[in-house]
Amino acid sequence: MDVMGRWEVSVPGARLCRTVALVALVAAVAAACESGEKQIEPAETFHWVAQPVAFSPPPKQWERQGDNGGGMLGVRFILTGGGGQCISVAAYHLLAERDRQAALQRLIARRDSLSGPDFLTELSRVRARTDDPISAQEAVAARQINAAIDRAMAHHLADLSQFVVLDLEAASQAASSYEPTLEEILPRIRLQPERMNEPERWRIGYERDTTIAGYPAFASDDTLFTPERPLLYHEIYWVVRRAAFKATYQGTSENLRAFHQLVDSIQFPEVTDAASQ
Amino acid sequence: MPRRSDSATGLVIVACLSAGLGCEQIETQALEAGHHRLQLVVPAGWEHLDHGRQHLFRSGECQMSLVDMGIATQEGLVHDLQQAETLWRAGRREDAFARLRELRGPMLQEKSKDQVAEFWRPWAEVEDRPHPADSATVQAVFTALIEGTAIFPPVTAEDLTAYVLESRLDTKRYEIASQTPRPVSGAVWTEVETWDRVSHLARSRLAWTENGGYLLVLGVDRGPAEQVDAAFAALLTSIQVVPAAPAPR
Repeated sequence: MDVMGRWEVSVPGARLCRTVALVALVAAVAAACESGEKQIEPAETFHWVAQPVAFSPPPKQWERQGDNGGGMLGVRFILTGGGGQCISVAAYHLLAERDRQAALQRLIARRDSLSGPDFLTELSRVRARTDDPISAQEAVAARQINAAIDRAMAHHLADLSQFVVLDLEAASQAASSYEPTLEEILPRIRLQPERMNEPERWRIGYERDTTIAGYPAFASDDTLFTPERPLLYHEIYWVVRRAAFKATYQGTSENLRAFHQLVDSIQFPEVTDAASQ
Repeated sequence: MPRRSDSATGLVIVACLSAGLGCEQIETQALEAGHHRLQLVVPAGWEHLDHGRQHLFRSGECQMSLVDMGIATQEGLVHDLQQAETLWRAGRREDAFARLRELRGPMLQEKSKDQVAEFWRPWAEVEDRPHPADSATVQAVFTALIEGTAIFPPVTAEDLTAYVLESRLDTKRYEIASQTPRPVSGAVWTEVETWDRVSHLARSRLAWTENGGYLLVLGVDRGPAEQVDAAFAALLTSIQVVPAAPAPR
């Protein structure tokens, strides 16, 4: 009876302990899950184009790869065992290379230290592209830049160096006069299923204007039909200080939060000399 | 990403790596890397190969190297010129001239092109002659070169960083992730972590210090950061650089 009695006394206490332990365990697991969802990596700054971009990469289970193709330079995070789910952030470096402002400034700074032939070679390298212009404004600026470079070349060959400086300044001003906008670039970079290999796999959904770190952005929430299952296909485009970027999410709704966390962490650090080196 | 430069931490890592699960004794090795006299502890499990100016440390496919990268400051440049002159005085004319042609250093880089041309002018005038110069002329060239080192401004820490990175790093592909001064046993090292410009993968480490006018560089040649980082930190923090004696003249 003593033993039974002790059982009778101890059972409610044991139940209480078990209940408390269970509640504590559930709370700990919930907290762990929550902190896992909110877990973000330290921010990293990428210098794919003149304008750096900084963001916190998704957690480690998203395996990182460099992304260099289609005129873009960036990084892709592929979910391990996720069946093709990935997040990517990239800059349009081919578009950035059309901007001649920085190249002209560098040439102006180096002009005195370049020999005659080297200077002519560098002059030809800073010419603006006139093929397939982004807009009429860009075409006008490109023509003005190239006309000024032609004059600089003629003055250099005629040994009129003081005019060469003025010509280069004029080219630089022409380059500064044009700054690409999201509105101009969007038609050529946004998802258009008819341009894809298998257009029937894409369905355009909800499109909207938004902001990224205070800059105007365009977001598109589409669907990608893979052989296994339909996946969310979200893209966000934006332009910051002459540089165009894109962030893409391809995955299930369960993992969309990782994309949103990354996008929310995006910042655009000021361009410094060290960064541009 | 600031990093604590704590020698004690390094020694603990050395101790852990050296001891493994047992209690083996840590063995300090004395060696010479070119102009530098050093003492260090080879991380446990790493093979050490002494190539004189260069020391290799290998573990499987991973490799680190500790290298005398030559001239760092004017002091080193003067010392190398004096050594070349000594060779010439000993009758080894071609060896002495070969030394002159092989001179490299942060002050002899492209960016100070005019100063470099001015510095080399006495030597260039002799080399351009169709006939070998007589001894009086060569002596005058050595004197002019040694005195001509004063034309260069003092080499700054930034100059040294640029020189090491230019020599050791493919700067088109890789960039600096972090740069930290790291005091180790009285010497101040500059340690940089590098990574791929695009993806920030392929992390690697490089550290250097100046001693007696010459550069000593420790770098990771091969191997993933996860496998090399601990050994790199252990090796770096174990290095004791014996200060160079003043150059005789």
